[in-house]
Amino acid sequence: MEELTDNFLMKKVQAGDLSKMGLLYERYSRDLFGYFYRCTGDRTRSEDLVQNVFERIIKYSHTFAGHGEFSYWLFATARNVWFDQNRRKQRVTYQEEIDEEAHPDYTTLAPDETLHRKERHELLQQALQELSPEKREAIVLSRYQGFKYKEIAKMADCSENAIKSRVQRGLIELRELVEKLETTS
Amino acid sequence: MKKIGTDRKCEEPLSQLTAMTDEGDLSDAACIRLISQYPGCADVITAQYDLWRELDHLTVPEPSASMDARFYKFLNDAQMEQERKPWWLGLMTRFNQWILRLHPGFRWAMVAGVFVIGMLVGHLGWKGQHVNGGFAGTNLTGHETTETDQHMILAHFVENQSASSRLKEVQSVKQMQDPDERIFTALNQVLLHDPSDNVRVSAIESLLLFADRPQVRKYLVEAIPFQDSPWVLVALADAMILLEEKQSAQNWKMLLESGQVEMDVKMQLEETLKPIL
Repeated sequence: MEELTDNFLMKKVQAGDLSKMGLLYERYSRDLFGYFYRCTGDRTRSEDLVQNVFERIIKYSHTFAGHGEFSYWLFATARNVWFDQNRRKQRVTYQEEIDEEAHPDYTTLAPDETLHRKERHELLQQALQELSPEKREAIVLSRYQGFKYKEIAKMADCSENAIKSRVQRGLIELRELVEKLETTS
Repeated sequence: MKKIGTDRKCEEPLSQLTAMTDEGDLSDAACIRLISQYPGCADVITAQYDLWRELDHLTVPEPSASMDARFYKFLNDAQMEQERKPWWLGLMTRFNQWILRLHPGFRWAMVAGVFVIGMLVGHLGWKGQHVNGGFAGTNLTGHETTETDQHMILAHFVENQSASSRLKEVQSVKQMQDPDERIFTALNQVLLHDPSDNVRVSAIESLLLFADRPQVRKYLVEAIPFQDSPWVLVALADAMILLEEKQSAQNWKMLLESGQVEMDVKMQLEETLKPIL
C-alpha cells in the first residue's frame, strides 16, 4: 500500500502532482493547528501559521529528501515558520484571552471543583504562553506531538541534553508561573 | 508553597523524571519508585509529575472551517499556476534538483557533458537546416479543441474514478474555444454531484469563463442550495460577486438562514455577498 504513505504522497507532490497535498493536509492540518495553538494560544494566528506551513512545503517541496519521516520534516518546517514569525514580531505576543472553545468539558464535575479546575487550566494555559518560545516548543513537541528529545534536538540544531534541560527547566518555570498567577488572581 | 525551582538537591530525580517522559516510562509506579529513592524530594517529584499529567487537560479548539477553505483555494490556485507553466519547465526543475544532489565532481562532469551534447545537436541541426532548406513539416497551427476532444472529455467527466483526472478534464474545458451545450450540462452535473471539493471548485471556474451565456449563469445560481463545502460556497460567492448576479440573492438567503452553514463561514459569506444581498 505504498500509495498511502506520507513519503509517497510527498514524492508525488515533488513530481508536480499538487493534488496529493490535499491528502497530506487532511492528515496533518489538525496536528499542526494543535501545535501552533499550544505555542501561541491564538486560534486565528494558528490557522495562519498552518497555511504558511503548507505554502512553504509546496514552495520548497524539492528540499524533502524522502529518507526520513515526513511528519518530522513537516514539524521541522512548522517550527521554522513559527520562529520566523516570532523573529519578525521581535517577541511572542501574549494572549490575554483564552479561547472559550479550548476548555475541556467541566460539566460532569461539582460546581466548586469545576470552577477550580477551569481556573487552574486557564492559568496553566497562560503560564505556558509566558515561557520562552524555546522551552514552550520543547514541551509542546515532546508532550503533545510525541517527538523524542533527540528528534527535537535535530530540528532545533542543538544537543539532546539541551532539549532535556529546556523541558525540565520549562516545567519548573511553568509550575512557578502557575503559582504566581494563582496568588495574583 | 515550596519553591521547587531553587531546590538543587532534587535536580537528579527531576532529571530522571524528565528522561522518563522521553522514554514513555512515566507512570504512577515509576514515580513512587523515584520517591522511595529520593524521599527528601517527594514534594518536588510529585509536583512535577502532576504538572506533566495536568498538561493533558489543555485542549485545543477546532480550527474554523475557513482554514480548510483557504488552504484548498490556495492549492487550486497553485495547481492552475503550475498548469500555466510550460511542460519543459517542470522537467528542468526536476533535472536541476537531481543535479544538486550529485557529488560536486559528478555535477561538473554532467554540466560539461550536457554542454558537449548541446554543441553536437546544434551543429547537426544547423547542417540539417541547410540540407533541407529549413525545418519542414512544422505544425504552426494553434491548439483547437475538436468535437472529438469534447466528446472524450464528456465521457471522462462521468467515468473517471480519480479526482485528479476529473480535475484535469474539468480544467481542460478552459482551453475550449466554443464548447457545446453538452459540456455545460456535464459541468453542471459535476458541480452538483462530484464528491471532490477540488473538482467542484474547478467546475465553477470553468463555467465562469463562459458566463456570458444565460444558461451557464443559471447553472451557477441553481447550484447554490446543493453545496455544503465552505470552500465551494466561498468560490460560488466570489463568482456571483464577479458576475454581479443579483438573481442569486434568494438562494443565498435561504441557504444562510437554513442553519446548515457554520457560523464563521456564514459570516464570511455575508460579508462577501453584501453587494448583491
